[in-house]
Amino acid sequence: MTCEHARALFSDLADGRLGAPERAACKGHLAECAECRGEWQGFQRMLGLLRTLPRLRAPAGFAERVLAAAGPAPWPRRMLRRLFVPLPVKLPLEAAALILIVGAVYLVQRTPEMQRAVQLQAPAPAPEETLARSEQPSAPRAAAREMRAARAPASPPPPPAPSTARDDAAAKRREQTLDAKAYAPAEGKPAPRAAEAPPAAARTTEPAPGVLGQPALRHRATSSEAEAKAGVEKFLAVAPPTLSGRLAVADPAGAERKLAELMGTLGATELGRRRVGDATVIELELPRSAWPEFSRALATLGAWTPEGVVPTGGPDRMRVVVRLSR
Amino acid sequence: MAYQHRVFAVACRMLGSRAEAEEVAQEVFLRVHRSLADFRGEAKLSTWLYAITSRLCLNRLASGERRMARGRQTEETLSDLPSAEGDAAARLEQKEIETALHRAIGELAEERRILVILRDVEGLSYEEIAQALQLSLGTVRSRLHRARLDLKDKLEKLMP
Repeated sequence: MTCEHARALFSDLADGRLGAPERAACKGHLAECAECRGEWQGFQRMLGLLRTLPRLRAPAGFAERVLAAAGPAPWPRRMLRRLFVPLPVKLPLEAAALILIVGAVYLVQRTPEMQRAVQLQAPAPAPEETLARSEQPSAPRAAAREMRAARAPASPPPPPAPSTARDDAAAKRREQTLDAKAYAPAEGKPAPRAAEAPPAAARTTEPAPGVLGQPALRHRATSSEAEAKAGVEKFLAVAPPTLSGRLAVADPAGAERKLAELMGTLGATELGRRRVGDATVIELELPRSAWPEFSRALATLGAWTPEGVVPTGGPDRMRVVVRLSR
Repeated sequence: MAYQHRVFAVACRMLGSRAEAEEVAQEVFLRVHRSLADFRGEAKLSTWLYAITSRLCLNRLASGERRMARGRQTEETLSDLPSAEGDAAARLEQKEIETALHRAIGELAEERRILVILRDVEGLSYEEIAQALQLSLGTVRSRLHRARLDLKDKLEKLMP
């Protein structure tokens, strides 16, 4: 064994970690090499001195101070710790959540469709407000007529019906399209409160599409027409249909034409039309008194499957949604 | 609090100051108090305490808060150690030896100092040291041997 090797084993020899052969070899070298023996003795003396160092003791009152400090932290510190510790994890998450909330609020403020969706949750108006609204001039009716005229017709316009007293009454009722009572749901629940009219600055801008996806009016709307349009769209957005149903037909195009004729005959008003997959969804409004005849006529057009029944009572005019498909 | 003296002793020998050692020791026990539910019992409680103490001392020495030069393990901070029994000459000699030892330990690099303190002063086994410091057994063995050789050289210079 070399001197370097022997001296490298001093710690293991002192701690009893050498196997028997290595221990014997190391001790054999120490017995022969005076220099290594001197080093080994110095090594042992050093270890002996270390082990004689006196034990250090904690100062008096240390345990009490620790126990006092271990009490619960004040609630603000605990709350801050819960909110922000660990910093690398919680701070980015909280910052991201804040950005999402601010972004969502900004979007709602800036997007008219989302604002309307939020307004759907608004509580019902007071009865006085509803009556006051019903006394407004007929500009909304004119706007409703404009909307129907501007929509690209999917079927040829219905032929002019012969003039009868019944037609006159129906025409009169058409004039009351936006009667305040029509806003009230059939079961007598309070009508939802309509949203505020668009601000004056927005009245002359390009109007947004209707709720049912009607194409936007292309001409520059005047302030009264814009109010009327807004009123119709609010009606569409907030008033639920009285009845919905599915009409399965062999010839959808032909059925649409006949349905248009039927609406003209019974004094119904088409409120909107859109395509949903293979079906055409037509939303119309008709006098409640004309419903029996309308439903019989639907049954002759195809297989009419209503969803629910027409509730008794309710407003004079009812909204019907017909889903027309093969 | 049964381990308060051991924790304090390790911190005091590492940091060379009783005041700092008390701060660190208090922090050790507060951390244990907060994390006791997480202690899985895979190691001895004493090993866990030594691990926290060693880590806090090494962090403190490595941080900028403390600018104590290596080796300035001040004699006055450890001067109130209990003196040896016996006559005055023996006590004086013992005091000189202890002072030289404290100074030599303080002059060791922190990574080697902690090994000498845990093994030769506190009496931990190689395995316990490896677990506390999260080192391999081979690293503990080689690093401890280097630390002891360094300490021997320094002592021989201080006490020829």
